[in-house]
Amino acid sequence: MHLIRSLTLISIVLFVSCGEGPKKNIESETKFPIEGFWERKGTIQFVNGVPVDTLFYGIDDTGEEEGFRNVKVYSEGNVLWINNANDKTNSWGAPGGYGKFEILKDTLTEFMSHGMGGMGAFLHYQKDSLGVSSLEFPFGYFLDDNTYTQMGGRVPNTEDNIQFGEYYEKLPVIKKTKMDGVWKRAYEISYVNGVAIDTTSVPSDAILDLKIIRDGYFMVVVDQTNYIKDTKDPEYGGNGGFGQFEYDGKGNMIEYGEFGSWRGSVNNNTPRNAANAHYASVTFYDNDMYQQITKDTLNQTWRQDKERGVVYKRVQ
Amino acid sequence: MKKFLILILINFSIAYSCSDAEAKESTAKSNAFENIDKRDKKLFTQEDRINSYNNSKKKSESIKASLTANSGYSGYGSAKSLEKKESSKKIKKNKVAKPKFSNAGFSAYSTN
Repeated sequence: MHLIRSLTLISIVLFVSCGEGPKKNIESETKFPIEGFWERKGTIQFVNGVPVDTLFYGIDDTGEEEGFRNVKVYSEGNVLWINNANDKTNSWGAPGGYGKFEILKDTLTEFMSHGMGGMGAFLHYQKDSLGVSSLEFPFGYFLDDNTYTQMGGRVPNTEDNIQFGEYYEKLPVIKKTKMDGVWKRAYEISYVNGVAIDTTSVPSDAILDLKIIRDGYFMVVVDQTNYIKDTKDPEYGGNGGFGQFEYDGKGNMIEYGEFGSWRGSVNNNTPRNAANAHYASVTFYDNDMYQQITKDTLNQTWRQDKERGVVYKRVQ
Repeated sequence: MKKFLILILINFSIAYSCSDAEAKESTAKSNAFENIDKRDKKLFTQEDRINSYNNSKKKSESIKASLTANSGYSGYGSAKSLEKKESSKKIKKNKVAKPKFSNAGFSAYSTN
């Protein structure tokens, strides 16, 4: 009798837990020390291979406008960077680049394939001209837990044997969520009055909308150089953004935009500013596919595509 | 003994269905996109794929515009006022707004 009571209790517990659904805590593992978000702080000057000086943005005369920011993320074999430079050479907005990367001994090679702003246009032109799918950028580098120096960044002075290196500091991990990963927009679902009326796949050879979420940050780049053919159109430069990220595990995400491809100015918002937040509801189809729909909130200034579901697929 | 066996059977069936529930559901949802993939495989050129994508956007915007243009009160009393208008003015045709369509690619992050 006692056994039957126990079994009845187990049955009830199993039934209740079944209704909740198992929640898998997926945390992206750090495969390499370079994985994570890095913010460039300035430039290191090397003489005869020895670091002799560091020129910091905003402190030393580095030539960049006040408020200039440049963030780069390495995640699961993917690299993505954007900055907020006010590029006056074109109307496409600030630049950014996306590609794959590999590390062999003391060389980090980036295979850049897509981008936004001048970088997007440059990559498009070069790939088209050379008939290749990406361009190789090999760099020497120095890496420890919190700093990363990538050789290059300025033209070396060979006469005096002076070299330069881009100096980055790692952004601290804020939080890991189920949404951490590399995602690509694959489908769009149109809704009218909340009812789905049409689904279409995104022409991936014409538009690349790629987003990396990890450690409490997000970065996105949209390359549409194969979609908008008119190079005079500012939208040819695509768009992108960077900021902090939140997911509550219950279908609500917030992207706090700090800077991005806003054209015509150096933009730099304070972190976690509600006025620059993008609120969206999230529905997972499985661990590798989810739909996000922008929410209608009073606080947001982002484009109000409330009735368009955007389906992202995990980039494996 | 019978009750005991029945309970064991119930436990097994619940445990089995539980372990598979999420997998079955997510597979079904993910498979919904397979039909889209199949349909779009017939689009051989990049131009075809772009046109199909643009048409989808146009379609939904056209429906939204049409619904907006046709929205209005049609309940009690609405017919009477319409008659009055008919006698004094020409009937105003519901103007279907021209679908707004930007060539720019949609992104939740467009900020310009």
